[in-house]
Amino acid sequence: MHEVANEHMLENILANNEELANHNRGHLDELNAWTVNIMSAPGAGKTRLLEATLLALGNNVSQPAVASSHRPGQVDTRPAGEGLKPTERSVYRITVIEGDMVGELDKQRLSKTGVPVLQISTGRSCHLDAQMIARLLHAEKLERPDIIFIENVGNLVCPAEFPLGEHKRIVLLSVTEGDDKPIKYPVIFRNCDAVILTKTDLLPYVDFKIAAAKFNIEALNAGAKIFTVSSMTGEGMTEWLAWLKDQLSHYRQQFKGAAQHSNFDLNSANRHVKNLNSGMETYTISAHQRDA
Amino acid sequence: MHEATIAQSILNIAVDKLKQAPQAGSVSSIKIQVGEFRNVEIDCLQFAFDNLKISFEGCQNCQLKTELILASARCRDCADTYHPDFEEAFRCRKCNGSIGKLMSGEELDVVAVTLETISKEQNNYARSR
Repeated sequence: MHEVANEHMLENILANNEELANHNRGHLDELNAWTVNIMSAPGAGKTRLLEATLLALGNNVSQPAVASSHRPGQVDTRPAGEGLKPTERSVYRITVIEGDMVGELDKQRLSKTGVPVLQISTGRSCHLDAQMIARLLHAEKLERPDIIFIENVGNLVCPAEFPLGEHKRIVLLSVTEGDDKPIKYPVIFRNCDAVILTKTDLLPYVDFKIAAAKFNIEALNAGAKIFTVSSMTGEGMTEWLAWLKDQLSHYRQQFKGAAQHSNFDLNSANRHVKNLNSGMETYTISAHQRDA
Repeated sequence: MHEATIAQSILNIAVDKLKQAPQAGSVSSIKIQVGEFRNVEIDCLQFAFDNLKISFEGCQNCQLKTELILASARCRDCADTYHPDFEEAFRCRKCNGSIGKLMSGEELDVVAVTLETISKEQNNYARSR
């Protein structure tokens, strides 16, 4: 004879991932590292946009003009560094976390800029999850980055379900994909802070209406900022870079003087980090000092 | 195929519940709610769950019950409540406005677990062996 016990409950199935994402967020905040999760379909131009962004903003860029993206089986006919010239004095220390199922092609491309690139190979998994980021944050000593860009695995479905602890989520949509994609992949476009329409230099050759894409994004996520960018020609980069800087300064303002507030115990935070990773050094710096 | 990850998480919750109930011997069913605005394909999830459950202690006969929760949106422009769907490009039927708040449709929760409890006689029998 079996008795049956029924228990009603409410438990988030992905609570594990969310807890780890919060844990990661704590680490990132301790490092004062504003973190952006970049998501899109494969080939929408995440790496290319990052190359251009790193060159414009990274103060640890060693080679201003890179001849990039020469990949096996492909001939790169572009003039070296076209569209990738630094646009201004570079001020931010940047780290990239590169998520790919297999290989280090993107890491090789981005490493040419001189910016540190940490690779996560997901194997058969179609997305990054919070645990992968947690392992990396515990294992690697990050060089006090101002900004961390996480390039997610190319996929418009799965990454939407797995927050990583990032501060902002960006989705790229290239004009070759079609202006209907936001309503075909509503979840990811609903849950992001900004959308970048990329490869706009190809607009004369494809049937893509910027207005239609914007209309579709707005239906799902009226608060999302929308940019139109060509990383090749540099068109639209100024607005995107301005937004990044603006968001970064918003982020830093939250932390200005935060250490003086009574509910933040710096010593226990440091102990916490040391317990998790004895190899990781902790720094105490205010955003104000770092700007100088 | 993140449905496999989700199936695994559900089974982990089932195993936890079983451990918390010393009188229980197995999990007979687990009920979940899946919102329409989540990227979860229920057939895929069911398939993954049925294939994975054999390797979870006490879950070999566990049945996964799923309930799809329809999305309900408050229009950003006219504040009307509507069902955002693909046919209307997710826009409000009344005023063609956009989604403001999603009142429902983003659920991904375990809402009930049914445990099979070993009766006293069986328990004593099991102990005596």
